[in-house]
Amino acid sequence: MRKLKKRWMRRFVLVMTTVLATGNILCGCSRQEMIRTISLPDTEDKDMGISGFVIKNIQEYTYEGQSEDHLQLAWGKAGENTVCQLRYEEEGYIYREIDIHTKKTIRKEFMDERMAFNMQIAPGGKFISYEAETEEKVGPELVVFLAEEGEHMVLRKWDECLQGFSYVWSDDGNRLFSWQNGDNYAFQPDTDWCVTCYDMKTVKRDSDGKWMVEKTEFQMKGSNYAQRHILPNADGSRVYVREEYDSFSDSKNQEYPGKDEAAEEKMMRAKNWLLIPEEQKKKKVSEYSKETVWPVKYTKKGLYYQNEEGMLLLAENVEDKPSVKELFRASNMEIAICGNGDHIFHVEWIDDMQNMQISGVKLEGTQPTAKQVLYKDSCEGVEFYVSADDSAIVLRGYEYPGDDRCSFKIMKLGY
Amino acid sequence: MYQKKIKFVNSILFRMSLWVLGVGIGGILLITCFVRLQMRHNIEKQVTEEMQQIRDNTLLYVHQILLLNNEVVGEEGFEESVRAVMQQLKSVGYREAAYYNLDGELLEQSGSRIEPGVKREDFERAKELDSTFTLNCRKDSQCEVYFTMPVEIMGKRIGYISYFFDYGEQYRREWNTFERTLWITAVIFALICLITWIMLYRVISSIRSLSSVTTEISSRLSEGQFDRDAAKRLTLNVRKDEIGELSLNFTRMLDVAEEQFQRIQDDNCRIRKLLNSRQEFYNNVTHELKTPLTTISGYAQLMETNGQGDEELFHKGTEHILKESMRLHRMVVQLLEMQEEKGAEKKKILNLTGLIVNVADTMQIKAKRHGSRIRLEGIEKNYYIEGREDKLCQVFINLLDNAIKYGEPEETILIVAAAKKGRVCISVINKGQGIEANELENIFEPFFRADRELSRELGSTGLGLSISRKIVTEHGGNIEVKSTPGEKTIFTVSFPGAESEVSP
Repeated sequence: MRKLKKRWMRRFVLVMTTVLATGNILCGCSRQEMIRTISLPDTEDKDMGISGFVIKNIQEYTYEGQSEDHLQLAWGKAGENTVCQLRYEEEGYIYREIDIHTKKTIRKEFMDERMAFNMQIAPGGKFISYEAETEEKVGPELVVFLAEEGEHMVLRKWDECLQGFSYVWSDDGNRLFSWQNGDNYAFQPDTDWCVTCYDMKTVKRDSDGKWMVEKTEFQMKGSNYAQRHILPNADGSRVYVREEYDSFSDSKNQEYPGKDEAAEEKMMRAKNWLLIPEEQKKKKVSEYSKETVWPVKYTKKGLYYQNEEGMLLLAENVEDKPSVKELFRASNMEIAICGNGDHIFHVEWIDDMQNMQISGVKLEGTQPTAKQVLYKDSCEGVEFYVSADDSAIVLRGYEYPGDDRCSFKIMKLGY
Repeated sequence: MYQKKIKFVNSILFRMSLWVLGVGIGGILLITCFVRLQMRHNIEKQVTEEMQQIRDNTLLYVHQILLLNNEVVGEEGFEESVRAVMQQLKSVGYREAAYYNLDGELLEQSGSRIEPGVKREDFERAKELDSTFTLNCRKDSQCEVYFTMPVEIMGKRIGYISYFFDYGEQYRREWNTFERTLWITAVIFALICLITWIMLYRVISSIRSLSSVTTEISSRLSEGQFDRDAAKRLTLNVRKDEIGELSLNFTRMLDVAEEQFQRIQDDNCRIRKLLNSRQEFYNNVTHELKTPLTTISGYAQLMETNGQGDEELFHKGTEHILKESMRLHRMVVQLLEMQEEKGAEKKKILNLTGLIVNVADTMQIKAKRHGSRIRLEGIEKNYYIEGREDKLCQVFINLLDNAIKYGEPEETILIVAAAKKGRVCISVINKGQGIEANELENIFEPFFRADRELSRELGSTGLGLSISRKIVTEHGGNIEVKSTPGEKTIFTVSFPGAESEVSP
């Protein structure tokens, strides 16, 4: 009797459990109300504003215009709150200095009526460099417009059919470096080439009243089948030069895939120099990478470059025995580095490429700190650099609000 | 009492089905709980991460706006720039927002989802602590997030911003995922249940089939019959799984059981037969003992009453008493011989030919007395066997004695010795009335006599052939009889020959 009772009890418990479990499942399937109030955790680094970057001031100048007329915007002299603007107007290329608060033109200069290209305003806005066709029409000439004087100075001429030239300003805008381009299809592959340094602080009139400038030429021996990178440091006192025989090395790689000989061959086919214009010295520098590199900036800390995987690396002590440190992945980013080499900024595109974001990373020794977002804006295109005195990030951007209008913007984020 | 009707609720199938169901429902319950917890955790985590991002973005944008407008980083600057801040935040997608100063007074509002007068927990907590959000998911699949953050620039709190975000879409998506997971789990579970049930059913069916066969066999066994046909109905031997193995073993077991059952039946029959023969032997002995005793006591009484005056009666009585008492003595001796344990005396190799010749010579006198004679054949060779000479003499004396007593007078009794396949065969052949075929099988039984009266007259005890068979058997031999009634009777005794001496 007791056994029977026990058995029935067991069955009853089993059935009830099944019923309860099924009920629970069915109830659990229905959507239920949930109210939760949650406080967010503290930010990881509360002192980021002190130890990291702090944007202390922002200066901005924007204007709207036709995109084809706009050429360039640059900040004028420090502390003057002016911007330099290059535009193509009816009479030709016009240089203006504009007050950023009143947006009024302080100064206007006619630059050239000829077709000009590769126009660059030197940092500080004192000089504007561009290429224009000569009167003889045999090739272009490199012209520097002296903004303060409102006059031109031709730096060099060349036959474009035989060779091309590139040029770059030092961060302080006082030195201009030009060089012959490498060319995979060059007619004279083994010709020597040269890097010319124009010291713009020496610009003066000669006895004939013509403008002249001191220049230093560095004759380089190499091959024209090359990619050339010329990176002056912040004040242009030292210039890193790299010649990389890209097409040759690529073909070697295909010929000997995965063999170290190919990598060694590649090393042999990249050459590095350091130029010191003031001493007129040219120094050969040892190779530091077995793969193709894209030099980013030559700084006091060393040479920053990116490898094929988009990693940002720092080659320290480039002049003697380079040692390489891997920093962080920076693929699909635009990078700007200060002249000291301890502040790295990069631009990323976020929110489905609708907005851009500038982040900063400090280098403590060779150890990068955590990324800190400094500025966000809606922008369709941007270029940026760090001021020579390492106090501001300068941004040049644009976006199309519609109606064939384009909004141009230049900003200075002081930190 | 051994048969049991299994109730469905007690059956393995029912119990196992119940277990599968229980485990399945428990499993679904666990999965439901787990998925729901995970879903809740996912929503909270996602919202927390997004709110952190929104907080960082907001602070950055507010800072930017203040710097751009050259405002002082403080409460006043925030109040001055709040419209610009609102425009900027609207442009980056934060459309439902309310902006408050440090006293909690509304400065600006975009959108209409935040009701300014309503006190919310997130706002109160944000004022006291840090950025807080309230996640409100309702039964109608609506999910709203109210997020309030203090605006702190360069370590200085300058105001508050409340946001509203609609997470209904994500919430519905999570629920749909959950429901789909549950349905899929339920379908998989149902399939597993079905498959398990089918497999169980198949296994249980096999066990039931085995059970039915055993029931049938056991019920027939109780009737004293072994139902071989029931065992043949087992068709599971072809299966290659454990059930097949079990069935095969069961079949083997049945074969062994059947063999044992048959043996028991045979033994039973033999025992019964033995008991019968024992009873018959006892009856015979008592009868055979009783008969001479009756004669002796009868004559003794007659002699006591009339013997002293009747000399003829005295002599006849004395003769009968003597004769019957001698027969009685012989019978007792022979009975003792029959019970005698074999092999008491060691066997030795002896010349059987010589033994037969001697016995024949001895019995020749008795044969002559009955007008017959004994002739020997095949005695040119000596046949050797291993045995006891006296016992073997007794066998051949018995056989010759019977041949003389029951043979036709004036006929020759023939003794033929021969060797066949390593055995020595001695046949005693006599002509006479012979033995009927139906009596042949009992001829070696004790006290059996084809013609009881005749044999008594001839002074036979009825034990001679029984003793002879016993002796022959003890010597590893065999005794056979062939008889054609009215013609002749042949007793053949064969012994295994001693190897070195027996000619083929």
